[in-house]
Amino acid sequence: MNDAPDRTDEELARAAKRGDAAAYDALARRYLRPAMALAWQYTRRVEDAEDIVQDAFHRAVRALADYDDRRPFSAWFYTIVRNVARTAISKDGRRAALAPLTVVEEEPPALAAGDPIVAADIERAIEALAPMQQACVRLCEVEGFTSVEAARMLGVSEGTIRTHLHRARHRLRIAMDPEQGVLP
Amino acid sequence: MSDLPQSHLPQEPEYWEELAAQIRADAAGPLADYAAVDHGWYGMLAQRAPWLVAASVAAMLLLWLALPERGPSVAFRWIESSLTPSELAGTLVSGAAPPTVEILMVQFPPSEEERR
Repeated sequence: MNDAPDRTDEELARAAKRGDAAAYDALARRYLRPAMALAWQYTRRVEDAEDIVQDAFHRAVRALADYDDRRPFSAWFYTIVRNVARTAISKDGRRAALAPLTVVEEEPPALAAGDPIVAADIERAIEALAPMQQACVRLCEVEGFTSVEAARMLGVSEGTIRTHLHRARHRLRIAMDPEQGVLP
Repeated sequence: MSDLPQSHLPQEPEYWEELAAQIRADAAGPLADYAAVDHGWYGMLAQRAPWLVAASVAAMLLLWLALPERGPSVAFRWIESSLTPSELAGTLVSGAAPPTVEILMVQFPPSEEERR
C-alpha cells in the first residue's frame, strides 16, 4: 500500500500539483487505509466511511493547487477527512462518534468472575469508553497505527493520544479483569 | 493482544485495489487540468504578467515625462495656419479671380527644428 517509499508526502503532493498521476496514486494508496480507519471512527459503517474517503480525496485533489507543500500533507489531508466526516454525519442526523470529544465517560460493563474473555467482550468494553478513548484504542491497538500517526489523524498532539490510551487501557483492564488486565 | 477485536475495515487486497482505482479515476480530471498548466519559464512568466504589465506602463510614463518638450504637432500647426471660414468665404465669393491652389493650400510656418 506504500508506493514510492523514498518520496515524502510533500514531494508526492508537489508532483501531483503538476499533474503527476503516478505521484497522486502513490499518495492515495499511502493514505487510503488511514483515511478509512479515521472515517470509520465517525460513521461505524464501512460503506459510509468509504463515501467519506472518496469525497475527501475528491476535495483534496481539487484543492491541491491551494495546498502549501511546505506544511505537512498529513495534517492538511486529515483535516479534510474530518471535515467531510463531520458534515456527512450532521447531514445524516446521526451522532458523531467522535463529537463532542468531551462526552462523560460511562463505566465499562464488568465481567462476572470466571467468565471467559472473548473479543466481543472487549468490543463491548471499548464501545463503553469515551469517544476519543475509543478512537485511540481502535486506531492504535486494533488498526496498528502508532500514536504519532493517530495524533495526525485525529488532529491532536501525541501526548493527548498517549493520555487517552493510558486511561482507556486502565478502564479496559478494570472491565476485563480487576485482578489481572488483558491489555498490556 | 490476540483477544483484541479484529479491524472493522475490509482485509481483502482486492477491496483496497478497487477503492484506490476509483479514487485514481476520480482524480483524473483535476490532474489533467494541473498538467495542462504551464510550469516552465513561460508559465512563471505568465503568473507574473500583471506585475510585468504594471512595470511596463510605469516605465513608459517615466520615459514620456523624461522626453524634452516638443513643438506643436503637425495637426495643430495646420489649424493655426489655415484660413478661417470667413476668410475662405471671402476669397471664394468676393475675389476677382478664382483662388489659386497656393491660396487654398495651407502654408505651414517653419517648425522649431526647421528654423534651426
